[in-house]
Formats: sequence, structure tokens, C-alpha cells
Amino acid sequence: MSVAAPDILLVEDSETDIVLFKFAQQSNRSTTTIEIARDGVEAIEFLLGGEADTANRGKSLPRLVLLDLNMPRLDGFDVLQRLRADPRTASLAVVIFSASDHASDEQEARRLGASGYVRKPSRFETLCTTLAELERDWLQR
Amino acid sequence: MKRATLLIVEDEAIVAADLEGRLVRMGYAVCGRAASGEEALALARTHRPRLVLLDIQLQGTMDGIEVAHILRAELEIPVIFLSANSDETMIQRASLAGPYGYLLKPFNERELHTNIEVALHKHQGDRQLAAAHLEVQRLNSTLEQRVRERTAEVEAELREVEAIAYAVAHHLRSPLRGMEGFAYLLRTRFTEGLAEQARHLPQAIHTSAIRMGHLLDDLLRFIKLRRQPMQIERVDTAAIVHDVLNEFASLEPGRLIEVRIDELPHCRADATLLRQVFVELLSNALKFGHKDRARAIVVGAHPPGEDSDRQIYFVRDNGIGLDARYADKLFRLFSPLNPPHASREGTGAGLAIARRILERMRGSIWAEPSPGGGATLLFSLPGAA
Repeated sequence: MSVAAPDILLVEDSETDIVLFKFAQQSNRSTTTIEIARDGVEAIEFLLGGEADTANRGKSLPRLVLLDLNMPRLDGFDVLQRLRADPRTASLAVVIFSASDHASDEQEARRLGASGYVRKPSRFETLCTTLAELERDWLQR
Repeated sequence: MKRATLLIVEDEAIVAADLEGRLVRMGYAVCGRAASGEEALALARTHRPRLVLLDIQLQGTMDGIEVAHILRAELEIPVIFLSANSDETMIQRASLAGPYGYLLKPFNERELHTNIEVALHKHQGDRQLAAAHLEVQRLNSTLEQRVRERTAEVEAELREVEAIAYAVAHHLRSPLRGMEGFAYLLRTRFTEGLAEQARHLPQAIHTSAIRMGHLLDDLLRFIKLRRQPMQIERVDTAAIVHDVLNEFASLEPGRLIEVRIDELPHCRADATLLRQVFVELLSNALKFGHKDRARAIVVGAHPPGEDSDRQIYFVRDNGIGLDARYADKLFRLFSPLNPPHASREGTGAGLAIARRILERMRGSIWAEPSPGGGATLLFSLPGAA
């Protein structure tokens, strides 16, 4: 695990989507640093650490978490709920990044305290634009 | 035929005995003689006679008419009144008990015999009719029940099939994102490294992936329509059409959208869904322009017929027209008659979506050739009058 916190933690179980995301970053010539968690359990471990390892956590949080909803083991809603319940991550920027087009999913995410809800674009060019907007909205210093 | 068993109810013993003698001579069996209503009911309950010959004036607290009511309601035994009373009020009262005859004393044997036979046959017929009626009712109710059950089963299966179709379409989006994205990258960044003959392939893959995306979107939209909640109310159709055209204009600034809007009466519909119908019909009209003619599109309404509470609207174009032989296929999902377009609108789902919406709102849609070329799409909805 990297010592310095990345700008973005991308929580995503689809390898295809991860590769596309990195290509989009490259296309945008983005300098944002990125770390990948491949499901909800990895995301929780990264952000909150194991049960015993709590001492230094919180110091190296990413500035933005992009969270897929539909994942094996722990899904996005569970992750969001745990993050909001922990004081160290209660105010961390967590934006849902999901292909779901159900209005109920967005409502549920907002109810659980998501900072935003962005639908995964179906085209690469849109993905590039969306990524740039996310960086502009959440990472500008 | 078995001898019919009769009961005699008569307060005067001598008359009763005489009557019994006559009945036996005619070939009937007599199960008893009663002088009071109470006695009559007890005998009737025990012997269940086929017919009761009933004097109106009796000993005890009940008269014959009261007894007749109980016999009919409780035991379904027919009665013939025997009475010397021809008073109109009495006859009226007696009629309410539903007798099978009313013999005025004195009567002769022939009258008695005829009346008994007619009463027995008529009662038999009534019973058969009542039984048949009950059977019909029973069959009706089980039939309705079975129809309800089958309908519920079919609806459940339909929902399941649609849920599967929806899930499949939804899951295909993820690999499709990969195809589209990687094809795009190949096309925009790596074409140089490809053999000359292969350089157009990334573009071809990319176009196919985009088209597949449109198909999935339309399929999902089509399936979701059934679940979309509806609020049927009086709607301002003209305002909706203007709104749709304004949106078209804002989506493609500079595009000339030549549409004439005639007077459009209100109707009863869900405003959001009706709007979608006009989006589909107007995109359709704008899409299939004829290369040799200046575009002329009219949105209008037919005056409602005298006997009809339906409002008919139409969208008429002068475009490439439609082949009347296949008009019914126009409204099927992904109909091959609707040429696929790479543009935002086109997969051939638009008219199927319009039809599904209209059917949900108790409307219908059909197509006719426009006079002078082109196509007219018409639909009807409940009027707002």
C-alpha cells in the first residue's frame, strides 16, 4: 500500500472499467494519482484498515472515493454506510460511480450520505469529459 | 310412474275424509290429513309430500296462506289452495305465497285431478330450471375464478420474462463499454500500426458498438414503460407539442424544424407519456424526409365523431412514405421496416414505444399514406369532454 495517499480511490470490480478509466486519464493528460480497490472489502481495508490497524489511518485518506455500487462481497451501499459511520471517513468525499439507472439506487445512495451520484458513461469520449469534471469539482485545490 | 304422495290440510274432518277418498280413487297416495297449520308442517316435514292441498281457513294460530309461505321457503313443497273464498283481497294475498293452483269450493273431480297434475308437472319443471340455473351460476363463478388465476399466472410470467430481458440488456452494457472504448482507442490512437486493409476495422467495430448501445437503451426504455407510473388527467396537447418542438430546436440549434401545428383539443392522458409519444412521432417524421421535397410536417386533430368520446390526433409528413402492405409491422419493436440510423433517434423502437404508451393510456395508433406522398401516423385517446 502506498505511503502517500492517492488523489482518487477507485472502487471498481470490473477490470474493463478499470482499464478504460486509466486510458481516459491518459487521454486527459491527467496528473491525478489513483489507487484501485477491487471490491468493497478492499475499499474498507484501504480506508479504515483492518480491525487492529487503526493507529495511522485517516492520515492518508484519498481526496475522493469513486464507488461502484454493484460489487461482490461488500457492495457500494455497505461500503458507504461503514464509511459514514466512522468518524475518520464521515466527511470524506464519496461519489457513487455506477451504471445503475434506477432512481431508487440514487435515492438510497443519497440517503446513506453519498457526496454525489455520477452515472458511468456508456461511451469513452463521455468518460473522459466526466472524469475531467470530477477532478475539477472535487480535486481542485 | 310412482304414485304421487299428497297431504291434505283441511279444518273440517268430514271434508278432509271425503277429499282423501277422492284422491285415493284417482290413484294418489295420501300421507296424512291435518286440521291446523302446526300439524300440517309437522306432517310435511316428516313425509315430504309432492304436493299439499291447503284450505285457507284452518284450526290453530296460522291460516293456510302462512302455512304455504313456510312450505315454499323451508321445504320447497308446492301447494294448491282449496277455498270457498273468492274475495279479491284474499286471492291477492294467497297469490303472494306462490301457489300452484287455487280451487274454488265446490269443485269436481275432473278439476281437482287436472289441477293436481298441472301443479306437479309445473313444480318439477321449476325445480329443474332452478337446478340448471344454479349449475350455470357455479360454472360462471369457477370460470371467472379460472380466468383470474390464468391471467395472474400469465402476468407473472410476463413480468419474469421482462425482468430477465431487462437484466440481460443491463448486463450487456458493461462488456459493451469495453468494446466501444477499446475500439475508440484503436481508431484514434493506434490505426497507424495496423495493416492497410485493416485500418477501417476499428471504426467499424466502434460504430457497431455504438449502435448496439442504442439498441440496449431502447430495449430498456421499452421494458421500463410498463412499470412507469401513470397519472391520467386532462392535458393540454398543444402545449405538449410546442414543448417537444422547442426541445428539438434546443438540442440541435440551427436545424430547421418545419412543423405546422393545427388546433389541438385537450384529451385525457398522462402528460409525460403523451409527450413521449409526440417525441417519437415527430422524430420519426423528421427522420424520414424525402430528398426531392421540401419538408412539410403537420400536427393536427380530427374533429371527434358524434358517437365517439375519443380524440384523434395525427402527425403527417411528406417524406419517403410507408408501404401499406406492411403497415402493421411498423409498430413492432426493432421492426426492420424502420431503417437503422446512426443518429440519436434511430433503432426502430420509436413507434413500438409510442404504441405501448398509447395502449397503456387506452388509446391506439395506426398509419396511413399521406395524400400526395409521405406517411400519416394517427392515434386516438379518450377525449377530455
